[in-house]
Amino acid sequence: MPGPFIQIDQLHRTYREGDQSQPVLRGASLTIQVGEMVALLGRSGSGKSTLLNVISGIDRVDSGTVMVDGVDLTKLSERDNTLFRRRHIGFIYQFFNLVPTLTAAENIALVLELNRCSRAEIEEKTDHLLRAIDLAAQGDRFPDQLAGGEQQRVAIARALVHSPKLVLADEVTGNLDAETGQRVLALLKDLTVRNRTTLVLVTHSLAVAQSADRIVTLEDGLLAERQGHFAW
Amino acid sequence: MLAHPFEASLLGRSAWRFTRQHRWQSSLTFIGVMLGVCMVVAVDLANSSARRAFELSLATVTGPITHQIIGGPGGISASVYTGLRTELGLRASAPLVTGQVSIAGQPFTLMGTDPFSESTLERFSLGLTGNGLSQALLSDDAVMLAARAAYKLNLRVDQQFDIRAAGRNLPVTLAGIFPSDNPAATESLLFADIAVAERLLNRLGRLDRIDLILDSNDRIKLQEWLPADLQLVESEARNESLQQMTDAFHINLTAMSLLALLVAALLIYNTVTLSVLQRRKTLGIYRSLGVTGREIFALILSESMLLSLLASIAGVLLGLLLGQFLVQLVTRTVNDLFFTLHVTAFLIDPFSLVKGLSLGLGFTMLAATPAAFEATRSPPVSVQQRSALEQRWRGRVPMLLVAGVVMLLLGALLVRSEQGSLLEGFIALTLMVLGFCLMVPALVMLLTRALLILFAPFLTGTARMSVRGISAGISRTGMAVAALTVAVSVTIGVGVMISSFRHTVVTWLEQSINGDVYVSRVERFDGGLTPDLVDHLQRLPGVALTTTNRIVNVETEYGPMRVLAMTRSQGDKRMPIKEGVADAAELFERGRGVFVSEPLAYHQQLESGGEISVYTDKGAHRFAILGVFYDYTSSRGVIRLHRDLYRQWWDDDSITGLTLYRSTATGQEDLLGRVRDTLQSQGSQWRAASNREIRQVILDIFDRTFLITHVLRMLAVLVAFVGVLSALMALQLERLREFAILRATGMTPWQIACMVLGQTGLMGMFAGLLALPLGLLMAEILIEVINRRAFGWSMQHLVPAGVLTEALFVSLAAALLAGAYPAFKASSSLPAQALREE
Amino acid sequence: MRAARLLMPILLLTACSERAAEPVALNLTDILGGSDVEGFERAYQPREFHFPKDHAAHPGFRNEWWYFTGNVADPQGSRYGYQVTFFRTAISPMARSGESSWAVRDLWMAHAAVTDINGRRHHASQRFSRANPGLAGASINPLRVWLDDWQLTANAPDFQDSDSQNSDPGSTSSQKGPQNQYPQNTDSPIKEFPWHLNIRDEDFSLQLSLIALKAPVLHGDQGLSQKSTTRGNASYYYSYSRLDTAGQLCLQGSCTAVAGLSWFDREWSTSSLDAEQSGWDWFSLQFDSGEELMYYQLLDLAGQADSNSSGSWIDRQGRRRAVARSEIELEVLSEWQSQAGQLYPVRWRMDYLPDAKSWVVQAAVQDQLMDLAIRYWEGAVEVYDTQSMRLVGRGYLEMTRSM
Repeated sequence: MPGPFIQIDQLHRTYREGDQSQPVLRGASLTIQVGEMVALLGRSGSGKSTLLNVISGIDRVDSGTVMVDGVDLTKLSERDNTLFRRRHIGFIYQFFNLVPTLTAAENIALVLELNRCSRAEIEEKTDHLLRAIDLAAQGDRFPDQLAGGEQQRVAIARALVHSPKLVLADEVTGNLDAETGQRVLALLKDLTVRNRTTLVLVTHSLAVAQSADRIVTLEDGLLAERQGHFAW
Repeated sequence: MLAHPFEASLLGRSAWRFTRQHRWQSSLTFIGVMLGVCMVVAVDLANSSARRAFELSLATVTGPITHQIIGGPGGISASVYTGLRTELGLRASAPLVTGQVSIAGQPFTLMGTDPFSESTLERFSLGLTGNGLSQALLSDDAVMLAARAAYKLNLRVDQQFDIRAAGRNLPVTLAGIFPSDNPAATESLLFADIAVAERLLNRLGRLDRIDLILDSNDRIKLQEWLPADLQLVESEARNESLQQMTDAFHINLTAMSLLALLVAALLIYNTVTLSVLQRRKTLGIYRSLGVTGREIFALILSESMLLSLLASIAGVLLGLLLGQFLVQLVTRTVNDLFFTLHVTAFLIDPFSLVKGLSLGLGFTMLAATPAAFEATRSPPVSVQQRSALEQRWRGRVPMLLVAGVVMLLLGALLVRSEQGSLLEGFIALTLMVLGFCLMVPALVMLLTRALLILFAPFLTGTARMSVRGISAGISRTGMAVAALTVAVSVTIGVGVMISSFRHTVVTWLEQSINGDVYVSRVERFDGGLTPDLVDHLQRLPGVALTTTNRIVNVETEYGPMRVLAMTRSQGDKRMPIKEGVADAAELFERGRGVFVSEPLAYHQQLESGGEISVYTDKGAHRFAILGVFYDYTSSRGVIRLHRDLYRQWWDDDSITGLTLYRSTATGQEDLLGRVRDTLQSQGSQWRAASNREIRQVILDIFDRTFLITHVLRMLAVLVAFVGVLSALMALQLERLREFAILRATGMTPWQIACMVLGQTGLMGMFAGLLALPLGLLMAEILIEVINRRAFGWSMQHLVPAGVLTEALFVSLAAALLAGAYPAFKASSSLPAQALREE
Repeated sequence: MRAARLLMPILLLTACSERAAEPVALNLTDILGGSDVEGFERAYQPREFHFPKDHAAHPGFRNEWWYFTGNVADPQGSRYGYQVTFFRTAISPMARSGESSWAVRDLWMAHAAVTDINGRRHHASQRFSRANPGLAGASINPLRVWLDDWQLTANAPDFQDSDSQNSDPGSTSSQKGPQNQYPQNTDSPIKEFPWHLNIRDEDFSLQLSLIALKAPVLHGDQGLSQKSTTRGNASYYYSYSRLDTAGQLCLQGSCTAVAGLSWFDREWSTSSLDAEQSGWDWFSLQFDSGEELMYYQLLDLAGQADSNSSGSWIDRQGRRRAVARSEIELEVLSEWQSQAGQLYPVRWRMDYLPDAKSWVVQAAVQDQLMDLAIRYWEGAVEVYDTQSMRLVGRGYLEMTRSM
């Protein structure tokens, strides 16, 4: 039964620093179906990343619920949250965040190793993905020996290698030139669609957002479906 | 995990690559841990060897006996032994004549035994048969050696050789070689029939000891029968009291080695913390990828444990080497201060090695745990903020300060009581050191702020940036400076302690050795000066005054003790008095009581007005204690009394030494020459020395005693140096990217280098400065608490400028050296390259 | 004749303690034979004996012993045998040079044993010492033979014979025969007695008073007892063959009064055995009739009695009749085997041809092995008339075997 895969309800989150408090989410709600590709559009500092962290269980909320695949992440312990993330979520960042002391192949394999995959499986899947991102020859290079676009492709491969149900991508093209960005985006889309992986794409670029099935905007801590044209 | 458990996981592989990339940091930590463990192992091996040597020395010369009969200065008449056997029928008894001799310059203990009695005690079985036995019993010069000793001396049976005994060279013949279950224990023993030993030691008719195995009936019977001038002592109790004396010395050394390990542990803490901070981002990525906190904790801890395991193994091996050297120093000290050991072998106690390893690992575990825990709290990469971390740290600084003050106070409370245990002293010392450590970050913040305010007008932008960098990165700099402070303070504390002690002894020697010429026998415990000679010397022209002394070892209620009987106390100039009853000097002259030395008074809690029981030739007698005098010649204790009083209780009118005071018109050298001429005409067994020579001899012994402390101190300095180097270098290397940005924004390589060197130099300076108060505090505790409790000696305080400047120099030099490489690297590399590096 | 044990002190120091006596495979003749006798006096010809002076040591000779054996009983009729021996051996003919009071010349050994005949147990113990300083020795005025607190003493003033006042201890110039010094009447005790024997050990102790009932008997040729054909291989040998004995005996803590008869042997020599001699059997028998027989047979390497075997028959008055090898026939009736495998005859038939007497001599307890630093069998025996099998006397038997 294709019920809602992600169901966010009435999220509140306020950052406090000293005397100042800055509300970021004030009752955001959202529902995403399995296999959907949703773009989350918003200005810098609008709380997009916070929402992404909340969906992945990395950040906490003050109130509200985050159901992912029937599990309420806000109710999980830190450890269970981590284990859930390890198994079911893939992350892609603007600044790639590859482990500098591991090669490209090892960065990809790391997630499988954490998920206790067999050696053969790790090798097979890593090879497969390296080919899929067209970096089969660069597998034993370290991140600092790769170009930005290559690094981001490795990051995408790492996010997808364990076939997560959900991939969260944070400004994946933000650090890349337009052409490279396009190619990375296409790759990401291609890979997720093939596996019916749910993809939440955070961006401030309408152009990027438009490649999604659906665009959701975050403004004043609230989420809204984007209808019609919207000028930034 | 992986299908092949032996293949490192990717996390492990990543950690290994990190360590390799930071090999400076890793290898310096490695060296620190290695040195720490090395010191612990070496000291422990030396201690256990010396202690074992002590036990073996005692055990081999006492054997399975339960009691000993000990005589006065004159020894025991052989007829006592005859009576023991023929009247009391105490068959399990053996007479002994022993003394120190040397063969080819090496010291040996000559054991004059009766083989028949020994066989009853089942002891000293020399395996003599037939002709060998006949020869041992019949010839006047037959001696026996353990097989190993004979081998080492390259002697064969029936070979003639010379021994030096009682100041003479005497030919002897090796009549037999005996095998030994414990070669080390018998290696320095020379056996001879009791009749031969009497002759060689020139001690006819007097036994040194009678060893017995007694049951309680026999003991009572014997005690009733025994002449009053002889004393029956339990051999075990006697051995124990001898052993306890050295225990304090060993504990002291152990504590110093542990202090070094503590410094090493701070190093570990420092590097592990730093490596966690450096990998904060990587750890954040791990967190995002779903690595649990537990896994990260295990990763960080096992990483340090592995490093520490390797370093500890290296430390143990190095400790084995160093230990061989230290054991000689320790044994020599024990010989000088406590008891003549005839065992000098280096015994490898496996327990010492295990102890070194586990201490190394244990300290690492303790030191790495906070950092590993900190690592588990690394937030996932997406929510990381550097400033938040620093803020959290800054928030902790006051808390640490409070905790530090509390620990300091606790430590102070522990050392307050006058009669606390040595262990308490060490706990207090540790508390105070750690307490101070915790205060360091706050003090560093304070110092930087003070610096910024005080020197504000003179500081350039770069300089200001250097200074601010320290307080801004307090999470990294605070603990680094703390570790350095402790390391450097150890060198100050021990240095001040040694200097104070030496100064005290020198002062004491000036006061107590103030005669002009000292005359004595060459062999110390061998008879004394003849009355003729004394008379003759007294009449020499230029002699204004003479005093005599008699030194003997007697049994007291507190075990064997040295007694010094002297004429004329010279208005007590010769005997610096710590405390005494009213008119103590006069009462002493009139033979109304004795003075006890400070260590004796301290350990046995004696004071003037009290009494001490001493076994005299007329039986046990309680002497009134008139006062306590300073003495640094024996940690066991010395009793001084007037010669008249001595003669009243001992049938002994020998004179061990004569002190001559010159008249004002006579030069010291002239008098010395005259005395030497006189002695020459009397044979070679006499010796004259000037006060300066005597002082030098005592100081030499002192310096030998503290040589090991010096060695340990130098090692501590080395550990401290490595600590400063590693901590600061790592700190700066980590900032290469930051420097690249600064380069990119227009700073010249020279400016960068200045900034780096300025910052490390400043931190080294802080560490050096903060180490001053901590070091002095440590010295205070070492002097007033630890050494007092260990030896019973009180010391004057002397803070030598050398020690302090050395400390500052060590910290500054290490700091600048630590900055040099990063400064070079930062200024020479292209900014673009550094920026590219993640 | 009881020579053999003299080298034991030398062995002793082979490290092991007294407890662990090794089987001693010594050639007895090394010590008791002719080797290394230079500097010592030898027993070449008969000498004159002077008592009590001759009870003291004869340092000119190498070996010497004081040997007590006896059969006693307590009031309940329990019987005991005992043996106490003091051995002296000189390891050098010269006094050791040097002034040390520990200088060694003589070594001493003592053996003591008690046989609990009813309990069939045998207890034995030994001691060793150098002589100096005063740890062991034998002296007169007053008589004292001692090793540690094992002592033989006479508390009465020493008997002074008429010429000992004016003759120095080394002198042998007395004109009188020894027998003449003593009353012949066995009922009147000799003046120098009683002697006191004091032995205390872990297992047993003995405190006995001894009174000689007969004058000393000089064996062999007026006290010169030839032991082998080589000239000088002989000892000076006398005995008190009958000593009235009374005192206290303690065995493992329980004490009892005892009384009975003892035999005292004195012998000194420098060498006695030849290389062809391997051991001996020695009998000292005290008959209820008031007579005694001492007989020893020396064994050659084949175990056969050799021609130097001899003895003494002592009548009620203490008169001696020499017993020659040809006058005694000995037959082994049964043997006992020690743990080490050595056979010891413990039942003999003995025929005394001159009086046509025949006895069965039988060990009171079979195992009376002296399993000490040197091993030998020494024990109480009972003497039966062969014809009637009536108990006619008691005595002691010593057997040495070199294995």
